[in-house]
Amino acid sequence: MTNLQTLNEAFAELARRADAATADQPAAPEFPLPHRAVTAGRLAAMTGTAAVVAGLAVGAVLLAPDDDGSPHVGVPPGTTTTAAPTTAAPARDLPATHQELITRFRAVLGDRATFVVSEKETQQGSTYIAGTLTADGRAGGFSLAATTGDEYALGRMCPDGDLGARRCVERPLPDGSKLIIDDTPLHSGGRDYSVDFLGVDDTSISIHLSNLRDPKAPAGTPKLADRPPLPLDQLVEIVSSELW
Amino acid sequence: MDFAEFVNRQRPGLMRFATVLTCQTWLAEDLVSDVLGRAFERWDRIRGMAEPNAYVRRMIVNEYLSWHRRLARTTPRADIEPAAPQSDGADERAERDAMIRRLASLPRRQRAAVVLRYYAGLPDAEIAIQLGCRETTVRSQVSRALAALRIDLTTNPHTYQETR
Repeated sequence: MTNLQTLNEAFAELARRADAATADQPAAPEFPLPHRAVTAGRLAAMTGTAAVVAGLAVGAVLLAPDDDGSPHVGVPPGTTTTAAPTTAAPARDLPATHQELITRFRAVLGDRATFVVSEKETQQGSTYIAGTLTADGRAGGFSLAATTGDEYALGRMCPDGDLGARRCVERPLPDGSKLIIDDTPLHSGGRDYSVDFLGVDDTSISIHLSNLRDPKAPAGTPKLADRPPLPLDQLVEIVSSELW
Repeated sequence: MDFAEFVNRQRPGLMRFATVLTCQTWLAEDLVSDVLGRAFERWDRIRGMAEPNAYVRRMIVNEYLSWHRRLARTTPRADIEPAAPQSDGADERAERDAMIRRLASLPRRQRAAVVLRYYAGLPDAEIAIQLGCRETTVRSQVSRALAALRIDLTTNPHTYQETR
């Protein structure tokens, strides 16, 4: 057994690493400022149109096979899309508890995949599950969240700047809602697919799917398959399903 | 206080907090940058709060626990290696590094509860608010975490490291 002094020393060492990591950085941060102040969904909700905001204009999304056969998102250079004007949609009746979320997710998935839940949580306006999803013999860590009026969730956007090997696109939908489709390489040969459906009614459904057991775990976390068990286009179908 | 001043003053502490929470500097940097970006968007509201730093720290905890935070880095850097030995001995360093590994392997909510109580020095009632659960849940999370960390509470007292 150890004692709290050892925990204290561990905290101090981690804090020292934090100081070392930021020692060479300028006092003023270099994160992208200013961020976009209003999301497309919110703007649409306020104005009743799905206007394309400057800086939020996105290219047409392609879902094309990648080298390993999985689809990827891509944005043809120089192409943009605009969404048609729309009227405000009624708020969706999203699951309010993690048990409802599990039941609804099972219905939405149908025979596409099975899943086991290892984490679940329900808070005001937000419910969340995470675990392992299996499809066609491939397994991977997943998380799924449904929110209503959650500004953290509704504020999601693709980051600015050079994303390297990561591919992220924002796709406006005709009713003013928005999809964020993201394919992020991770450590240990991992990959994280994520799709967010940000509704014009201030609701959101977000799914992450990886070939690692936990994309947030340290390097060396078990890799369960060569790629995530479902391709991105199926994740788009899942979050866009009318069964929610 | 304007936003730039807040960042210059609080960012090192937020970065330490995030590193203790995540046990990974690259993830902490990512988390802090994301959260500061969001804080900038709402700075007019946050600046008027009694404790803007506490609010931003809570944003960090929320982002960390949600698992939906964007993974901005495509290739996480290796974490910084521990510094060369200074005054402490090999056994103590080994024990400390083993503690970091155990801390890193805790479930996220347990780790957050331990960090908020023993690093940030928050009372259980405040931790419960930050984690969105009951105080009894906080106590059971901390209890399980301490067992996994193999910490015996009957020995020496603790001093909190973060200045609130």
